[in-house]
Order: sequence, then structure tokens, then C-alpha cells
Amino acid sequence: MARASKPDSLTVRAYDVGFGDCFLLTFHYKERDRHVLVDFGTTGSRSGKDKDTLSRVANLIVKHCTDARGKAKLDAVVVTHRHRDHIRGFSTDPSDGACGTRIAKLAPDLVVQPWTEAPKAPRDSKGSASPGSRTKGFRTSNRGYMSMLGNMTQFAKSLVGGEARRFMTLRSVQERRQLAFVGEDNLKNESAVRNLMKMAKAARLKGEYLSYGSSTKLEQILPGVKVNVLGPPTITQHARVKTEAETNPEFWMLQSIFWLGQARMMNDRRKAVSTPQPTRKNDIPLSARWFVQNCDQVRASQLLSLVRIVDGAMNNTSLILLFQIGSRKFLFPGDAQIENWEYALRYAPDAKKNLETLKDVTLYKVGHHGSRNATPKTLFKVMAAKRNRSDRLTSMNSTMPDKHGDTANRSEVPRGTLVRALKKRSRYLTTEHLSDETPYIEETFSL
Amino acid sequence: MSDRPILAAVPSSRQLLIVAQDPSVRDSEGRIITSLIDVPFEPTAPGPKGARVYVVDYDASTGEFNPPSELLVDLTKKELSEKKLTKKELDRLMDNSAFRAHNAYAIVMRVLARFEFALGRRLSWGFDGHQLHVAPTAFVDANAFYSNRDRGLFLGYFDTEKNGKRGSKRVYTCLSHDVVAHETTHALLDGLRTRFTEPSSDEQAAFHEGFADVVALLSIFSVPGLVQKALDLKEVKDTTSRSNDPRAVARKWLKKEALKEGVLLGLGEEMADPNERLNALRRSVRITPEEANAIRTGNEAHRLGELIVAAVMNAFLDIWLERLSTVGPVYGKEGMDRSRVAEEGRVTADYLLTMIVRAIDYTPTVDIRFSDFLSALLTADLEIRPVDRYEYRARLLHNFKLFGIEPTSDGFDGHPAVWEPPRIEMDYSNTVFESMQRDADEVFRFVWQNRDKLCLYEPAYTRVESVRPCIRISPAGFVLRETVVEYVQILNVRAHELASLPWDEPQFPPQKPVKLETPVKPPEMPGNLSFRLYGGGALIFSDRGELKYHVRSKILNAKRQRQRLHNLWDSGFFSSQNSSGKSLTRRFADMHRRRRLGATNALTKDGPYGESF
Repeated sequence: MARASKPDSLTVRAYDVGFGDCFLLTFHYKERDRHVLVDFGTTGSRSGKDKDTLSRVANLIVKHCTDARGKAKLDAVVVTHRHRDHIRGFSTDPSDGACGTRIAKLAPDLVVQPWTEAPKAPRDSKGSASPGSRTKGFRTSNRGYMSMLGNMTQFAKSLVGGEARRFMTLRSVQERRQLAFVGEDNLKNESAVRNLMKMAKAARLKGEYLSYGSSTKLEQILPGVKVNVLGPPTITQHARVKTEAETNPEFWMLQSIFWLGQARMMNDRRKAVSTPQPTRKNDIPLSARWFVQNCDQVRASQLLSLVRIVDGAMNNTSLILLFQIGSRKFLFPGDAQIENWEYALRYAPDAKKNLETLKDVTLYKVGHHGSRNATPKTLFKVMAAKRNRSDRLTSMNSTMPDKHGDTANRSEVPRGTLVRALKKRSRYLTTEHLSDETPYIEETFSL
Repeated sequence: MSDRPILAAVPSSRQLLIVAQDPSVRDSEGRIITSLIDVPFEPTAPGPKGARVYVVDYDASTGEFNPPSELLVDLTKKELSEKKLTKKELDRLMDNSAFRAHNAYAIVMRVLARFEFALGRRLSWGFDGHQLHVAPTAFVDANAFYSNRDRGLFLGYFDTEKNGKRGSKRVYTCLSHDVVAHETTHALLDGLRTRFTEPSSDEQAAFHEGFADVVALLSIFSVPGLVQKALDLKEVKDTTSRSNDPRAVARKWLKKEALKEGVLLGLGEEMADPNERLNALRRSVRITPEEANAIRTGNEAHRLGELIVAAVMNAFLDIWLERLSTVGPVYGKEGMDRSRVAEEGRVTADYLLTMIVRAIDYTPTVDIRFSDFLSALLTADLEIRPVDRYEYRARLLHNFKLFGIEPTSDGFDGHPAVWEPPRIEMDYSNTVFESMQRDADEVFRFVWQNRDKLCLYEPAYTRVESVRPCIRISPAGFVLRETVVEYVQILNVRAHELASLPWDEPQFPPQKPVKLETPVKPPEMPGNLSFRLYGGGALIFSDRGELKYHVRSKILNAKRQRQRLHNLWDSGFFSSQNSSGKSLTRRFADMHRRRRLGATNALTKDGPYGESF
């Protein structure tokens, strides 16, 4: 049978994982459907039973990937970045529902991840060039950056397992929920990471690790579909703008060493904490209590600000993929924030062309669950410019309110002003109102 | 209860033992260098807790609270200090939480006393309260900061790596003289000029850091005996150039570069400090005028403060050498008397410290620039010490210029760079002299009456923030009485209204408003964005109640406001997170981390404005 040159339609499903992302893109070709899973994770389900939620979603994915003859097959897996709310579903750990085993059984032909996840890239913790490294072409600054990310993750892990644990239980600490959430989201998620590597190894087309402008084997898997990689840029491509500092490998080495130091301090502390017990509040003199409470608050804020830097850095490793089929365009930016986006929108040599291409996006997967700084206004203005009714932008948001951020400082997720703008200028679909009866959104676009 | 007879004289000061710089600075026998310093006497409670400082030894990383301890006055007992503690005893002392609390208390008190002496009055901290809390082991981090909101200094601790082995050495920042002095200076400067922490120009952000660094360095060098120890340390290493006579300093060391290497840079060389604190200080001193130019013109806002350090410390060396040039070579060919060389260095550092602190009263109250500080520095000193024997002022001016900092004022009456006194006679007819020395409402009455002559912009909200009578004493014992008044002007405007303000007006006598060639508003700023413009100044009154100086940053100074708004706009200040004010309350914690990481903007960096929802 001759292979179809392009799909006739595309079904996009957003599963209810609570706070997280899980999208299944089903490209309908004449001979068979082809399925691409974009992320699968959660940091908190609506029911509070994350394991059950992930299991239920895994069953649905298997069901939706099964053809009429009963054969279940996933063509590709895209993991935008390594946050727990995007990859936990790939874990094979029973405490996460071991869903990763079921996904692996769907034998994807390709596993796509950002360049920062490349297993062959050197991971010298001090960011220095490792002679004899198998990876050629990585500039020292890129290596320093990757090493920094590794050390940041290590820090988050040590933090959540150590010092932050006490603050999470202190009622006097305002940031305790935030600290727990952001910290846990940045855990290393080792089981999922290992499983993804294993899946990539077993895949027919193996794994690929993309950066801005990379070509991708997704185009082989999806005939007639053009896939633009709009992010993340490498450090070599996009050492940030206003200063020379970030083009300097030493800058990244300094960052890397800083985070290594932070992680080690956390670890040292964790070891030491076992002996001296926290002093009971009643044993602290009355005259010192106000200040002691402030010390806890200061420290929690300090840790939260560090872990937020880690969080932002990790979000900015997100893949930004634009699927194009004829004139229809589907944009999946993961959790990319402004620093990742600005390369494609402003600093890349072909930034103007990108803005032109993004003008008539059909579907926009709302970045970072609708947070304030993951849908740059430049992007929004381009995408949501006045269009015909038939050509109206559709936006799809996988999110859960009251989990992340705070309305008081205008950091709530999803951000009220963004949601209002999306409702006004697009057909806004959200997973917020899903229930056990309708556990996913399904939209089919004719192509 | 004290058993002192009620009418017996109360001592005005007491001596306390401190670590002179930090535990990594040791003498030739490997002993930590300590020093006895004078601090004001006060009855203390366990903490130590006094009228102005309360040490609370709580570790937020573990939740441990060390019971309050008494000041270790025993350590200063004559027989003990003469016998000197052994290397082992000193090392053990560093592990003693009571000593760490004591050390922090002593250094904070010393810096406070230096400020109070220089300014000739009691000082307030920058928050609503009398006692500054100090947490000597606040958390595990190579960081230390002052927080206005929490009324305290938070001093971290951390383990360093030695030969690849973790935890082999614990570094307590509360034992580092320069760290404690630096953070105390932030707290004091915040009390003197509350609005210097407002987001403004890059220079204002850098000023707090640069000023605190200078005070910390000079504070160390003014510790009795420390300069001599620093000289000894360098000479012990370099046996080839040592004088044969141990009482003499070889001539080789009495040159600017040698003193810079030997004394300024010699301290803490072996300290394995991931904080890079001393390295940063050393780097400041090493800056060349060419590098200074690159820092100013390039985009290295986080290094701007280092220019102040470079200028002052180079002047310090020049003055020190000038003082030595008047002393004959006591030991002939062998060189000069070691203790005299060191004492001249200590005296120079001590007086420069007084000058630096005094300058603050003569700075504008908002939007400080380095050039304002230079003019303030020279004017404040001229007032109290008209004859400048060792040319402190000329050498400071020369070095500031060398590092690219030109004074704001051209000078007056043959004195270059000092502020010019008002040319117009003020109207004192409705003011009461006595009240003018303490009553803000009375001073405001004067300000209102003379608003045209003072060239204030009448539609702006004007407020007298403080009235401070001072008694200053010159090195020669001459007493200067002044009253220092701080006022601010605040104007709430929308961006589109900027174009219609009478910029560079009002002037006295009135002139036509200046037609601006470049608009004040950043081009991308939306017209409906509202924000505040600040202006303000210091009024210095003589002991006869006459206005001597009016030092100000005019609210309608187009050039300054343009720079400020552009800087805030570029740094993302107007994005909602920052304008909510939350991130500004503990800004020193953030600023210090950015400095360590070589971040791009000392103020704030929140992504390009206008991109966030």
C-alpha cells in the first residue's frame, strides 16, 4: 500500500493529570493513525491520589493508541523537559503507578528530548572540558550550562530531602506550600529519566536531543508534517544579550560551582541534622521568639528563591515544537519561559521569519500551565491578532488552580490576566473542569 | 545587679577581644590574629544584648537555638591578653558559640561607635526599633545580609573543601570582621539615608555595596596592631627582602605598589572561600584606571561599587606614604621604624573612615551618584578641618578622578569640588531658632517659607524626614556644631505626563523652562503607566541656625530622572512582581548572591519588561 503523503486530520487529547501536562497527538493517515505523546506527568492530581490518576491516564493512552486490530503502538514520545509534572508518568516506580512500563510497551520508534538531556554530553560537575569526551562540538559554555543544571537538580533533591522538610511543616512559614511544590517538581525523577533513556535505546530511530533549528526524525515518522524546533537554544547560540558575561565559559562554570556548593551544603547539613534536634519553641526565651520566627521565614524565603531559580532554569530547557501540516500549525512549547522564547522571537537570525510563521497558529498549548511569564506578549500578539472566525486560534491549557503561585503577588497559575486574554482572543479549552466521567479534552482538526 | 556605688564613675568604654580579620589570618606561629578593641561601655544582658544590639544565636537550617551567653569580658583581662592565648586555645575559641556571639556583638558595636563619633550624634538603624538583632549562625550558606524588615543581620556559615575532603574547615561569617562590618554598615546607612535602597540608578544600587566595602576595609585597618601584623606576614614570606633589623621595615616595602600587595592584599590570602569575598575586595584594590573605564562604559553594573573601593584605598596608600615621608629613616639604610610605619597606616585608615562616614550627611537624600558622594566627602571634611596637612582631600579627589569619578560640584572659594553654599539670603523671619534644631514641623515651616529660594517644585509632596543636631570633633579638638535636615519630594505621575513637566525648573530667580531634546520617558514605556519621581536634599544649618549648604537631587532634573527611568525600565522593575514591592524587602540577600555570581544587573533582573502577563 502506498504511504499517505500527509495526514487528513489531527486529534489532540489533553488528559486530566491535575497539575501537569499530558497530550496525545493522533495524526490520522489513510493507512493508519500515528500517535505522538507529548509529556506525561503530574505534581498533584485533583483527587490527591496521584498514583491512581497516572494509572488511569496510562490506560487511556494505551486505549487511544490501540488500532482496530487490537495492536497498541506509540510512534514517538516527546518529553519537553525533566520536571516532575512532565515526566513522572514515565517512571517505572510502583509508587508512581509504574506507568512507564506500560508506555515502554507501546514501543515508540523515537524519543525526543531537549539537548540538555543528551546522555553523551559530558557531565563534569565543574563544567570543565573533559578530554576524551565522546561528544564533539559541545562548546565549553554549553557543558558548563549542563553541568549547572545537573548541580541545580542535585541541590533541589538535597533540599527537599533535607532542610526544606522542616519548613514545610512550620505553620508560621508563609512559603511552606510553595517550597514543597517547587522543590518536589525539580527532583531528579531518576526512574523516569532512566526509563526514557531505556526507551530511546530500544526505539527504532533511537533518541534525539534537539535545540533551536535542529532537524528532527519526527518528520520521518509523520510524513507530510513539518516540525520546527523553536527552542531551547544552546548557550552557544544564545548567550544572553546585555552582557558579555554569559558568552564566557567561566561564567557558567561559576554558576555551576555555586550550585554544586549549595547542593553540598545541603547534604552536609542533612547529615548533621540527625544529631541536634530543633529546639522546642517553649525553650526559646520570650524576647527572642519574634526574631526566631523571622529567621525561619528569612531562610524559607531564601531557599524558595534559590529553588525558583532552579525551576526557571529547568523550564527554560523546554522543547518548543511547532507542527505544520499545510497551513495548519500546532504549537507545543512545554514550560518555556521568556528567556527560552526570546531567542526564537527576537535574537535568532531568522526571528522575523519565526514571527511570520507564528501568525496563524491553529492550536496553542498554553505554556507552563498558564503562568505569567511563559506566554510572551510578543508571541501572544502575533498569534491572537485579528483573524477570521473560521481561523480562530484555539488554546489548550493543562492546569489546576491553587497549586502554584499566589494571587497576592500576581504569580498565580493560571494567571488571571492571561486567562482573560486567552478567553477573549481564542477558543480557550482547559483541563480545570474535567471530571472522572470526562477525563480528557479531545479536539480534532481537519487538515 | 551591679555592686558599683551609685555615684561612682561609669566607664565610657570597655575592651573586648575580637578576631582581627578572620580565623584564616594567622601569625608566623600559626595563631589566629586577634585584637583588643574599644567599644562603648553598657550594661549587657545575656545574648549578648545591649541597648543597640541583641545577638540571638538561632540556626534556621537546623532549628537549633543556643542559649543566650554573656559577653566574654574575661578574655580581655590583662593577664590573659598579655600571656596570649595559645594556638590551640584560639582554635578552640572559634568553636565556642558564646565567643562567636561575643565577636559579632563587639564588631557591630565598634562600627556603630565609629559612625556615632564621626557624625557627632546617636544614630538610628534603618528600621523602627532600637536594637539590631544579629543571628551569628543564621543558616548554612556562604551568605550574610542585612534585612530591614526583619530588623537584623543574618550571618551564615559553611564548610569548605580541603584536599578534596568536605567539611574539613567550617567558616563562620560572624568571625569575619569585614563581613560583620559590611553588613552593619548597610544597617547604618539604611538608617541615615532610607531612600538609598530605593530602586534607582545603577550607581545608587552599587553605592550601598561600595560604601559598605570601604567601611569594612578601613575598619579592619584601623584595628590596633593589624597593619603591623599584615606587614609582618608579608615580610615573613619574602625573606630575601627582609630588613636585618627586626625593628625596621625594609625600604622596598615603603612604595605604593609594595604596600598594596603587602598590606591591602596580604590579608586572607590562604582563605579557601567559595564566597569570593576577600577576592572581590582584593580585585577592587587592583583595578587599574583603564579597567575602571571599562567597568563604567561596559555593562558591569555589579562591579561599579568597586570603583569607590579602588579610589579610596589608593588614596589611603598615597596619604600613608605622604605621612611617612615626613618621618626620617630611623634605622638608616635599613629603613623605617616598623611600629611607626604601622601606626601611620592605622591613623590614616582611622581618619579616612571618619571622613567617609561624615560625608553621608552632606549627600542628597535620594538618587545618590558617586560624583555627589565625592563632593560631599570633600565638603564635610573642609568644614571641620580647613587645613589639610597631609592633603587627604586632594589625594581623594585625584584618585576618584583617576577612576573616572568627577565631582558634582566645581568647587567654591578656591576649594575644588566642594558644594557651593546658597547664594541667596534665606528668610528666617517666621522660624524659631531653638525649635529648628529638633522639630521637623518647624523646619518644614522654614522650607515652605523659602520654597522658591530653595528651588523646590511646589506641586510635589514635600516632607522633612529628620532633623539631627550634631557635635563633631576635629582631630585638633575643634568642635563643630551643625544641624542636618533631610527632606524628600515625591511626585506621582503617569508616563505621558512627563513631557509636560517644567524640567530643570523651578530656578531662582525664575527662568524659562528648558526645552528637552531627549524625552525623559523611555520610548517603549506605556503612557498610562504610573510611578513616583523622587527628589530631595540635605539642609545643613550652622550653630547660629543659618543655612550653610543645600545638597540636593532635584526632582525635576531631567538628566537624572531620564537615567533612573531608563534603568528601571531596562531592568524590568516595572513588571508586576517588582512593583508589588515583595522582592525588595530582603534585597541585600539577593544583591549579595548576584554579586557572587557575577550577575548582570545589581538592582533586579526579571526578564524584559512587557513580556509578562
